[in-house]
Amino acid sequence: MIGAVPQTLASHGWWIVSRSSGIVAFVLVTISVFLGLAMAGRPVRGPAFTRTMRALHEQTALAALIAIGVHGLAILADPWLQPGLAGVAIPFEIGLHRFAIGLGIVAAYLALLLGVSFYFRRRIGPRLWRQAHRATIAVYVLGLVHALGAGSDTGSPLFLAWAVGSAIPISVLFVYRLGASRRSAERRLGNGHRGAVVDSV
Amino acid sequence: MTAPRPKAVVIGSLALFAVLFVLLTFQLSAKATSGSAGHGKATAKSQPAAVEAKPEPEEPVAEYAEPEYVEPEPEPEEIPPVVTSSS
Repeated sequence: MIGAVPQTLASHGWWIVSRSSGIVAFVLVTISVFLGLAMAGRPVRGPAFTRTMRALHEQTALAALIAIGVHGLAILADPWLQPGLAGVAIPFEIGLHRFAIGLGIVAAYLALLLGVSFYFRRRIGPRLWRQAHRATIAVYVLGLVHALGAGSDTGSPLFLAWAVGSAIPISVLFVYRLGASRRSAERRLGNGHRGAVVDSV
Repeated sequence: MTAPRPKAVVIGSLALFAVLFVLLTFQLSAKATSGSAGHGKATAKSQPAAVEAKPEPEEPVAEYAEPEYVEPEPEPEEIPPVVTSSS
């Protein structure tokens, strides 16, 4: 069987490469988003924990960007699909699975934009960057819809388990984070109001 | 501007991608190969072959039929002309 693997790779190589890189990209995006949300929720405090989580978050995000790039290139080179540069680069241009693939392309651009912005966050401004970085959840959601709508492995029980199994904790963390931001905003407003009262006295 | 990121981050990310990618590619290829050997229809077969060979136009093969033997009709015997002598 192992001997026949190169033969399969030779006949369906680009397709297999696009599938594996797509799955790797989705898995890494999931882990990265999960770590980001977990960090923002601050379930555990401490410099060592934060440093480790931040390093893991950054590495998985970078690896996901590499996987997304390989995924796009493999689809571009697929002689059966023949999407053309426009089909891979312009959302909703390709005929096959137009909506799902279009969302995948949007997710890829968003991931690239948000990923690269991390290295320019001081220039952008930490507050603005943090607000923009909250859109990362959209990369995960769009990637999930893209994978379920256009992926060749949506019927795989392992893939479905990963998709459903990751959606639950990510949703919980996202809701928790929204609540935390609201509480923090209210606290800030409350402090501001108190400050205003003190100032007026 | 942020401090330059250590090379370790980039190398670590590349390594992480490479390990997952190689493992999954091998796994998908092996699955496709075993599928084609076992059931005749591989997972890979759901995508048609990359370059489909156009089938050569086949000439219609006429069914060979034994020709019926038709007995030739006997030629009419020549009747010698009756020569009448006129005197």
